[in-house]
Formats: sequence, C-alpha cells, structure tokens
Amino acid sequence: MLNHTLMRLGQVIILTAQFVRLLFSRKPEVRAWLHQFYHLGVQSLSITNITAIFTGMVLALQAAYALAKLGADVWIGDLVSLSIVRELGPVLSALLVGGRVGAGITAELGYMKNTQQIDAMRAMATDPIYKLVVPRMIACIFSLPLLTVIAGFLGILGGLLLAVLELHVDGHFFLSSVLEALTLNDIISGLGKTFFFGYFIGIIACNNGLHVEGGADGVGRSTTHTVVTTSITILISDFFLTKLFYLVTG
Amino acid sequence: MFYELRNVSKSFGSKQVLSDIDLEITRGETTVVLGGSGAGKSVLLKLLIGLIQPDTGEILFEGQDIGHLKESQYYAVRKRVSYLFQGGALFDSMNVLQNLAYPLLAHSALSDEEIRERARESLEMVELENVEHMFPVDLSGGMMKRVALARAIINHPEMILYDEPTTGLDPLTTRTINKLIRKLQRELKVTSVVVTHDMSTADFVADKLSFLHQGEFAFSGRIEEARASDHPLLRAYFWGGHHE
Repeated sequence: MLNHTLMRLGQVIILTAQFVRLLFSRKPEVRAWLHQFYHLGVQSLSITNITAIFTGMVLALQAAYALAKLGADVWIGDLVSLSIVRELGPVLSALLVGGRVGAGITAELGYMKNTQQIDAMRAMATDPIYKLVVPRMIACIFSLPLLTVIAGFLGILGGLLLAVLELHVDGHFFLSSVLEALTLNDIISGLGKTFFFGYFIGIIACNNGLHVEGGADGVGRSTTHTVVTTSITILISDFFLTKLFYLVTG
Repeated sequence: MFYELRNVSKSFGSKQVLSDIDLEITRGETTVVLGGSGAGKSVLLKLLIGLIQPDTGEILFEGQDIGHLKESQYYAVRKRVSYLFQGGALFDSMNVLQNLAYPLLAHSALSDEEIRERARESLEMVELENVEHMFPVDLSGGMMKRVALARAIINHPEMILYDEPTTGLDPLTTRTINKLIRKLQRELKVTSVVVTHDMSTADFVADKLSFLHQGEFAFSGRIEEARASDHPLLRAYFWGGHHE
C-alpha cells in the first residue's frame, strides 16, 4: 500500500516536471487548449452553477434560523457571501469538477492506452504528454477559477433570492452587507486555492489514465481511484491552502 | 543492412519473452516473423522503434545502436519507420482525414489543401475512397486496417512494421491486405517486417521468414527454405496437421 502510494507520488512528480518543461519549451497548441476548455470547463458549468445556487439558498436558510435565535439575522448576507467566496464555492466546484472531469480524463486516457492510441502517438514521433496531458492540465488549472467565480456570483444570488422571497429581507440591505463583508483578501484566498485544486485534478486524472493496467476493469478501477484521490486531496489541501492564504493575505 | 538485432533479450517480470535473438533486416525486402500467440512477436516490433527497450543486446539501425536512447532521440528513427498496430490504433476522437493528417501536421509544413491531397493519395493506395469524414467507430475491421495502413504510409516511410495485419479479418479482406503489403513493397520500395501467425499472409508476402518459438528463432531463412524446412512445428504451420 505504502509502496503503491509512493510510486504514484513519484509518477505525479515526474509528470508535473514533464508538463512544466513542455509547457515552456514548445509552441502552444491553442486549438487543443480551447477544445479542452470547452470540454472540461464550459461543459461543467451546469453542475457547478446548479450546486452553487442551491448551496447559497441552503446557507441563507440555515443562517436565518441560527442567527435569528441570537437576534443577529442582519448578518445573513455576510455569512452567505463569506462562506461561498472563501470556502464552499471553491471546494464544492473543485469536488464536482474533480468527479466529472477527473473521471472523464482518466477513462479517456486509459482507453487510449489500452487501444494502443498512446503508443501510436509515440510511434509517429509525437509526444503524448504534450498532445494529451498539457491541454488537459491547462484547461483544469484555468477553467476551475472561472467556474468558481461564476459559482460565487450564483451562490450569493441564491442566498439573495431566498432571503428576499422567503425571509423577507430587504434586497438592497442584503447586497450592501455582502459588499461590505467581502474584502479583496477573501476573493484572493478563495480563487487562489482553485488554481491548486485544478492542478491536483488534472495531474491525478492524467497520471491515473496514463498508467492504467488491465482492460475495461483496469479503466474502471483507475477512474474510481481518480475520483477518490482528487476528492481527498482537495479536502486535505484545502485546510493547508486556507492556512497559507491567511498567512499571506492576513 | 537496414536493421540488425544482436543477442537481444527481453523479459517482463519473471517471464522471459525474447531470449538472445539475432535478426537481420535487409533494405527493400519483406521479413515475416512467424509465431504463435504470446511468442513475443509484437514485443520484437516494439523494440525496433524503441517503444520498449531491450534488457540486453544491441539493436542496430543503419549500424547505430538504438537500444537505449532517450524518448526524443527515437523520433529520427520513427519518422522513417511506420508502425501498423494490430487494432489499427486510430484516434477515436478524430475522423479519417484528421487521423491521416496527424503525422503530417506534426512533421511537415504542408497546407490544408496539400494535406487533403496526400490523404486522398494514401487512401487511394489502400483502395478506399470517400471515407475521409467517417469516424473509426463507423469503419469495419478491414477498413480500419486499411485506414491505419494509409496513415502509416502517408509520410512516405522507408520501412513499415506490421503487427498482425490480417488477424481477425475474413479471408477475402485478408487477401486484400496481403496484396496491399506486396503492392506497397513493389510501388513504394518500402522495407517491411510483418509479424503474424497467419500462414496465408506469411506465405504471400515474405521474402524471408523467421520462426519465433519459445522466445528464440527456431528457423531463419528465405521463404523457399522455410517451405522446405523439416522443423516439425514450422511444417505444421505450412502444411497443417499435428505437431508431435
């Protein structure tokens, strides 16, 4: 078990080094990057957006009941916006994208490996890391922050809708408390983490796909492994990244 | 000599696949490597272009040992030697034209129009037309092999490595592929290495034949010599019947 984990870690470090080297030493294949942006980013919009709206609504609802007991229900906007921007937006988006995109990448690359398509790339004197891994990594790293920004807006919108329609809070008051509560540091902390989450999703998914062993069974196992590993990595790294950003941004 | 293998061995874990084998590949000729399933034929082909590396021994390409190069150092060899994979290994996400264009886009500065023309020529060579916009999933097994062959020849290689080119095909399609291999040798002057366990293919395309058995070459020689060989297993391959 430990050997296997260390081996995977070694593979991820090597793949990261290859990704960085190829990213800066070769001409970017912009079309392939955009294709992956669409595939991995744009097509994830629906799940991250629906989750964000309902998370914002649930947060507002929970906050209203809890804060009302303390006579502090004026803080609903603050609580919803800070929770969404600093924590729930980035983490939930990453978990959802990790599940959807990470599993998809591993399955696709694993199938390509099993059907010798990756060997075919090598046999035609091209580099599969450059052709397959670099565009997917770029898409993961840069689309997750964009998805999180949109999810943040929609999460706050969900909270606003619930506060106005169900709790009869004044909309202007809610929005002004959101704007007062949020600082640039909150946004930097929330968004900054998503670049790391995107990297984790991309590198774990690509590495598992490239190292699939066995047929359909092996692809299935690797795909499950990707979802589990990315989820755990996101949740654990979230703690350390949050601490790091508190230290950096104060 | 185009290629020469000297004392090459390869094992995976505790399984010895190739044991101390020697092979010479002459320019312009078709060498068939015959052997049963799991005999190490595909491993041998992969060794020739560095998709895997030997444990011991030398693989000489025009006299230079290419057995243990870095991945990028194999590119020079791979641009001159094409590989036809057993299942075709066409890219599922691309249509036929994009599959054929792949090596050209990677290694040439041809315009889109020139690429389309080269693709049409290659498809014509393998006797296919109007399939440019089809996806691999829509192709039959025989068509897939021919499209893969068209992709293999589009860069005008000096040599083609065929991995079980007729396995799983019906007899008529097998004959078509066999004729194509001969035609490519005749018209494009390519050197070929064909690994197969299909005797109709071996007999039809071979100038030379090497018989791989239990990780070693049990026979190597001209095809006429192979037909006359008294090696019992090789005779069983040629003439049928039971091997004692």
